Amino acid sequence: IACAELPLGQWQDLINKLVQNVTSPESTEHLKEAALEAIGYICSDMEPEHLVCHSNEILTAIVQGMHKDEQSNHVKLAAANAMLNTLEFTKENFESETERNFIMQVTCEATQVEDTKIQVVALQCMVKIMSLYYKYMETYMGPALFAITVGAMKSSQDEVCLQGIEFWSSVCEEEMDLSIELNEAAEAGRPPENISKFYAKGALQYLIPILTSILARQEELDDEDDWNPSKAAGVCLMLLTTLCEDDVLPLVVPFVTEHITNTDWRFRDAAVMAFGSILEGPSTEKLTSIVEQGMPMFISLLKDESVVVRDTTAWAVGRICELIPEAALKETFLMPLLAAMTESLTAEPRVATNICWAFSSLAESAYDVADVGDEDPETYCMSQVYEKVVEKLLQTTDRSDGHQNNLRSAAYEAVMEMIKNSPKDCYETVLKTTGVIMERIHALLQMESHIQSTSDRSHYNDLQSLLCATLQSVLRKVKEEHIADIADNVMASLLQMLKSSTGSGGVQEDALMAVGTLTEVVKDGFMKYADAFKEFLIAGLKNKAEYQVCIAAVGVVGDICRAVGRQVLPYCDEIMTELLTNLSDASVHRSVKPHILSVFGDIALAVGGKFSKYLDIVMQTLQQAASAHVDKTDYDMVDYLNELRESCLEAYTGIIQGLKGDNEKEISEDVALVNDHIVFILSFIESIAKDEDHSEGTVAAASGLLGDLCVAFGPSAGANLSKLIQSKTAIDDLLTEGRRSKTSKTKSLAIWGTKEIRKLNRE
Amino acid sequence: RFDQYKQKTAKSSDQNVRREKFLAKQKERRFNYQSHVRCLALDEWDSEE
Repeated sequence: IACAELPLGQWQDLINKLVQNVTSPESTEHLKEAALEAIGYICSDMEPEHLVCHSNEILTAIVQGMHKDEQSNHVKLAAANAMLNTLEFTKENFESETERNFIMQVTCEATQVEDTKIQVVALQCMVKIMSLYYKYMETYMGPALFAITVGAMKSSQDEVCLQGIEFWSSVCEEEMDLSIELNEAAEAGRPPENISKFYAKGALQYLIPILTSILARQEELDDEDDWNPSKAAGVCLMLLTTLCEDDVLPLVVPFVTEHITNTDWRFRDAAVMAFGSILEGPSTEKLTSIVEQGMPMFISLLKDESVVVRDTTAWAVGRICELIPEAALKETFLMPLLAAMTESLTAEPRVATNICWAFSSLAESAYDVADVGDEDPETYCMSQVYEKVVEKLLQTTDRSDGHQNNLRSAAYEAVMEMIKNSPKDCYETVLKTTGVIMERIHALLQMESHIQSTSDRSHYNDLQSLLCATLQSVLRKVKEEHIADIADNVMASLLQMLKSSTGSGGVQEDALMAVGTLTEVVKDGFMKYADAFKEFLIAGLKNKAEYQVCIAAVGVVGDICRAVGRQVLPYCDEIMTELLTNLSDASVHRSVKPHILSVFGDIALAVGGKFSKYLDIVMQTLQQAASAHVDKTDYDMVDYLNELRESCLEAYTGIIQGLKGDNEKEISEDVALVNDHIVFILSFIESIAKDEDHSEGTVAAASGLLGDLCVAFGPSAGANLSKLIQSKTAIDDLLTEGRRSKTSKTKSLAIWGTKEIRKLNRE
Repeated sequence: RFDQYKQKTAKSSDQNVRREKFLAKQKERRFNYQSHVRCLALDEWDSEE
């Protein structure tokens, strides 16, 4: 009731009464407890803005309830819980030193009471205070917080230990943010607003021995969904390494060396876990030599007698393949490693899933090392085992226990990465895999009529999605001379999938994306499928409920335009009607709209002058979208506005380029149809330039559009255009920003746009 | 925190990741096509500098 009434300014005396119930000497233990619980619930459920004005009274009640003189543990616990919920809006109280000291004192004292529940909540308060009010913590860290949290980490009570670890994990995250802030400030040439006190670095030598010993406190029969100190210690160690980099190595490596051959599986596992946790942060140079020393051991641990150790080793091998691939790819280790990994694909699902992930990373790294530029390399270090690995991975996708631990997805993902990152001498296997995937799609589609349960249906859908995704990875690799042999078959399967997947947005979306990829490879050969595909495209465009399907359908329109050019014309009226209907429909998810605007540009570019029949309505729509305003305090909306604007810019570019025609020597007269809109377009670019929240993408697209305007209208209206652009000084600033960009695309477009404007000024 | 334990990089088997990558690729195709129409492949712009 309070949450309903307080925001409307009603029940103004409620908080006062609750506070009195806590502070009055006549109140019973039960009344105090109940009042504090009520305060706690109100604080947890209500927007902080409605409570800020009551923060003093609320804190008074809570602090009294938590105080060491309070005899009742029930009251103390209720007060500590309420404290946890008030911390977000007690900023002003934390700003005052006296009040801060008092809050910190009662919180610290509460961590020392005997009752575990109170200790845990008090420690939770400490974790939250650390992340909300880091900048005030210096006074308390040395004399209190360090000792309290280290003491908690050493506790034999799991809940207390978890909070101790969580405190330091939060410190790491806070200090990582501060380090990013420092870099950003340095780049911008200003001092940072907040600075790190490097607490984690200072505490490292004390924390690491405790964490590594906790790592060896695994459960005998671990439930993977349970959270425990051993897992928390692994995460904390990883965060400490990311933050403190090389400093962690001398403290962790001796533990790994000492215990990796321990006869107790718990210590072997802890050693591998510790090792896997320190692979991100320290310098590659230092890590490479450490990893290389350990490689033979890891290869053998993939066959350890304990499944926990095998699982952690498989995960650590995955991390090595992703983060320090140099070590895994080294000639001495690669073949033994690949043999052990291939063998482990038949291990327990949790182990095999990690191995699949390792294959995905390794495939990418091996390809990158051999990369020769635009083309695929002739060969690479995995060529000799490529066929066998892909075969084994395909077998893994088919395992009857593939639904466990995400194994099937992970195996398909590994197949996709192996295909994507394959050199020329493995092409035969790519082609063979294409055949396997097509056969699987056929077989699956045959099975549809046998589906009975909801869970069967969900597996069936997931499998279709995965096969569609794998299909795309092979399509991108198949050579032009082989595409024609398979395209009919691929398209027939995709059409069947679209037909049967009504009701599963996921499958439809993946099938539409696969059609998009097919258009890319068959180019105008797609025309022979256009009639059959049209009804599914229109159905996708009409799918308002599953807006991701709608976005995919809109995207395919663009792909088709680029693939077939003018031949898309007979379908345009119907497509344009659907697109315009969606734009004016408020129930269509907003994220669809930018995609539609961009695709207007694709259509215009494909059909050239024939776009003139849609020009009035499209220009009117663009003007409306370009004039949109959003609530600037909402970050999501600021992003959305940028996206919307970028799409408008892309649409204008497509329209101008399309109407201009592709004859380099003679600009088509159709472009004059845009004359009346030039003033608006330039004002739109100016408004983007003046908006301090504009994105990199809008700078790039606006720069390109400025160049397009100069090229298209230079010959007919050069002097006026030049004057108009010069009158808007913000546009010049935007181009300068673009030229200084670190993104090559933005930089190139801004340089080109600037040159075209200069050319115009000279003429 | 739970998600950070034995964390793996999400790749294309997750539909969200797949979607994001596909849309980014599509955007790139649009950009390349528009650049092609501008008759100015990126390399040429760079070499003009």
